[in-house]
Amino acid sequence: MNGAFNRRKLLLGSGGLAIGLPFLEATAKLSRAAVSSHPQRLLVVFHGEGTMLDRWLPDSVGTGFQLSPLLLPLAKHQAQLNVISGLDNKVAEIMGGNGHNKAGRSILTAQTYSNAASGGGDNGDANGPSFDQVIAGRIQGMARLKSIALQVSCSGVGEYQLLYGGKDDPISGYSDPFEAFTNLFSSLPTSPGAPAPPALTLRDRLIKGRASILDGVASDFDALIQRVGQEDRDRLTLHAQKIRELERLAGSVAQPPQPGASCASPDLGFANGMPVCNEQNEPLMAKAQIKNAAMALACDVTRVASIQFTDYNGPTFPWLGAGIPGSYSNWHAMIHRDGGVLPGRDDMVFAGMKYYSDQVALLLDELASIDDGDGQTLLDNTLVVWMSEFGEGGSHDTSKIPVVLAGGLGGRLKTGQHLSFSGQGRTTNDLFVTLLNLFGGTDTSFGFGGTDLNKGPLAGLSV
Amino acid sequence: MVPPVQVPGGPVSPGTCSGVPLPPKVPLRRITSAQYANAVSDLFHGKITASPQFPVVTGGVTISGFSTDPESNAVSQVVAEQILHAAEDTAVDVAAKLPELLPCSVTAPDAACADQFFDQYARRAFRRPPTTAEHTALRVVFDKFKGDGFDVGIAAATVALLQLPQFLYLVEIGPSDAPSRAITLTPFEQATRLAFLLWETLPDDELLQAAEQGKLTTAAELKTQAQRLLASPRAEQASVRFFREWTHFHTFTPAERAAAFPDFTDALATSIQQQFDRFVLDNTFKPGGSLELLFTDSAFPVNASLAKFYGLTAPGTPGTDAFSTATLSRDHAGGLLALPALLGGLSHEKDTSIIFRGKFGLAKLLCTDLPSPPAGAVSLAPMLPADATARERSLGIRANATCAGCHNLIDNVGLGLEDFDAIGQHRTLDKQGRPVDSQGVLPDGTMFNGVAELGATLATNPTVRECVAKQWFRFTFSRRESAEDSCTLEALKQPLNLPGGSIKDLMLAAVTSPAFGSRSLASQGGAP
Repeated sequence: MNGAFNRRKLLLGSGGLAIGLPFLEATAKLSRAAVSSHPQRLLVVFHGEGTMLDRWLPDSVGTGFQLSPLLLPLAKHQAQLNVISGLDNKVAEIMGGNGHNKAGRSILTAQTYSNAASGGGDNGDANGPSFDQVIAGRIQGMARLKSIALQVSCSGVGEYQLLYGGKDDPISGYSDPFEAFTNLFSSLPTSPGAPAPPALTLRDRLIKGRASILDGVASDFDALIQRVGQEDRDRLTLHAQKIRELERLAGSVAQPPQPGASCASPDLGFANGMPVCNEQNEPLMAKAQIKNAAMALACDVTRVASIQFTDYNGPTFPWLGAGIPGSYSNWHAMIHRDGGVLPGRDDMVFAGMKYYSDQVALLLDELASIDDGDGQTLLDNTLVVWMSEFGEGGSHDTSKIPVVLAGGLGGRLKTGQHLSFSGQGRTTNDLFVTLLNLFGGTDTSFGFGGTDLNKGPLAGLSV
Repeated sequence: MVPPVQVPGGPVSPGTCSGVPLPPKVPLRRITSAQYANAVSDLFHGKITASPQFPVVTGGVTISGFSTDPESNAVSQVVAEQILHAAEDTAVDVAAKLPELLPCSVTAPDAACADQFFDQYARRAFRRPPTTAEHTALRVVFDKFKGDGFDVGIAAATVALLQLPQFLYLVEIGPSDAPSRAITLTPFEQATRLAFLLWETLPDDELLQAAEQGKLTTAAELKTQAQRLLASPRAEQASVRFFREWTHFHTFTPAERAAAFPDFTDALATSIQQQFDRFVLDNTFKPGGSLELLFTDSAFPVNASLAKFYGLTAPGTPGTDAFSTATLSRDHAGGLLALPALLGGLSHEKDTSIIFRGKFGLAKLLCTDLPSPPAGAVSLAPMLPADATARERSLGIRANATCAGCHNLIDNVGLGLEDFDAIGQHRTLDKQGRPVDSQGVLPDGTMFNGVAELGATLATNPTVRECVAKQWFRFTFSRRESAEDSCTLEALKQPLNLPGGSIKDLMLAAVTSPAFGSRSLASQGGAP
């Protein structure tokens, strides 16, 4: 058995322990401006297979809109929502390959495949970064990690590699909440009076020496990079960057938690050893990843997090007790209506889709329960972006993408409204420009398509 | 014969060969998790088991269809971290087994001993002698940590060694340091290509020695080594991976199929997978195996579970899982195409899929790629009663002209395999108890009924031979072929055109082709 288990167990032993408390108490009393002093945070939530538009789209627009059946679980937070409808992912329409690959690769990047950079193509990596990574690069500040990608289910992302640091540079995530926990919280400063660590084992010495070992590895990469052709150089350079980042993380001194934050390593709610990949346990895993994400933001370990529900093909939602009806093979086939609309189909699709709404509601509850100082909650200072790759899931259609923004981002945007862009030819490119600008950017376009697909920021969100 | 059908958007033709094979573009490849596991074990003489923390790719981008694609093995931050953790695990194991691994005295090991360790293990890890600079770099790490103990120094250097690009990538630079547009691989690089291709691991001592003696420069020398590698059981893993990834092998379990196949047991599921591996290995390596038999054989490996599945009484020793060969009825005389692993994998959980099976036939056997359905295609499908037959559903879809172009091609192939159910068992009645109609049509208009007729026509089809050669090309070079590869493909398919030509003949033709020993660096902007 490797050492991770023991490290995890050790960490869990201190789960829930408040960290760096004297520092917090000393600084929380400082007076501060109402808005911009908290870090800006972004949390992306993604589930697959789109939605049922007739049960998602609110009946009315503007403030005081009526929540639709699929948005009703978010009722408690309606004042902090922006429901955005009628945006199309037009980049997917010019891409080749199957309906999932093209939708997945472009939904958060607004990019085509890198090996078919002008459109068409069949399959490949994205030709540029996803919007969250651009924001992450701009707002990292003193946070230890640029971003953290969390996954629910062990299905793997399959065709839905959504997140890219740049061209050909996929971001992978953690499907095991314990592994994510270790990465996120093991380097937080320990509280005063914690027991002295036991004598160093060989493994401890290797971990302690990581920065020095990795420096040697990265230097070797650098030397080899000088000797190879351009294409090899690009690949090795991307790898070498990751080694340098590991070196930086190994050598970085733990930062004190941000003033005002209720930073404490989270209690994941179950003991290590719980079968992470058993579908029956998925709601527990979702909850654990929600806690990981929320506290990672609260502790300023990172300012950009994502939670991706990865199984878009075969979830059976056993906890809903409904199963996949009739002769449908699986969730995906039922979404597709393979063999027609069988009795129970719509109700089961709705139940599955509502499960995702419920998870987002739990996430918003969690963020709203965390004190971010100055009478503000973490939700007040965060922007949650919840999307899926299709509008109407049944037709695998990349138009009319469902978008929900939640949270106040420190008062930087209007909330409590439904904005419809139906029939206006506006794109997800425009959404991402809008989001970049909410995070302080001055961008005028994002992703592929030039002025054809970029009409600039969406109106109605800025304060 | 029905008239040939125009294929929308395809097929992609690699062009015709005029001249000599050009050096192939070969992407820089990171070793896969399976290759890493073998390499770590072989590096340390079988005394160390690789860490399970090394990143395992689950699905995602594969352009060639094979898991060695560089896109599938890109190194993200999490992947780099997992590689680090795996290296630390192995370093701890190495430190614990130093007495067995050190090339020198363990009672008072000194820096000279560390140097010997680096010479020996870096040579194996890099598949060539380390340069002075590479050796020094490992020694520098050792020196930084040796104050805490000799074992700590060796362990720290091992953490570095297992993360170096010379270990993790198939680095192919050629003899000169100056990058150029086309290179001839060094004998060491040849040995590495050969070993990872045929054995999924580092070259063994004999292969490294041959490289050291400059012996891998002629086709004859390469053939001798390739034959040696292929004669070993160690060649089975790579061959099985070739067939599994080529056919998009998809394991299906009783848990998934329970709703429609309550009698489908774990033992049978396992036997079905083993049968696939045994069949393709027998066909590839046993005397008499051939491409023709790959598609027409009626003799299959069968154990007790499979004997019951086939309704046989004789073969398979009752009470054991031992396999023997059984010749089945003509209904099954389609070799690979009749394997339940293949037909069941190309099915839905509850019923067959003529679309999966048809797409398999077109994409994997004829190398004909079809465009993806247009946006909103699903909404064009007519709503039919739930008990409609597969053929009725297909005809409903094809009644719409937007759909007919592709679905005439796809469905007509898939329909011809309708006499095998969703776990690959032969049937005469469909799920609703109506007689099965397994009449199919290939894109060139050839009609067939059932798997035996399909296999027989594919076995003599030049497009199939070309496609099989392309699949091995993709497996070898981890990318799809392009127009410049036409002469290489021409050379590869030659042995398949001969009577009795086999997959093994294809493998040998590929490794002895000029393309195998060379590399073009001109893709994506060219060398500096």
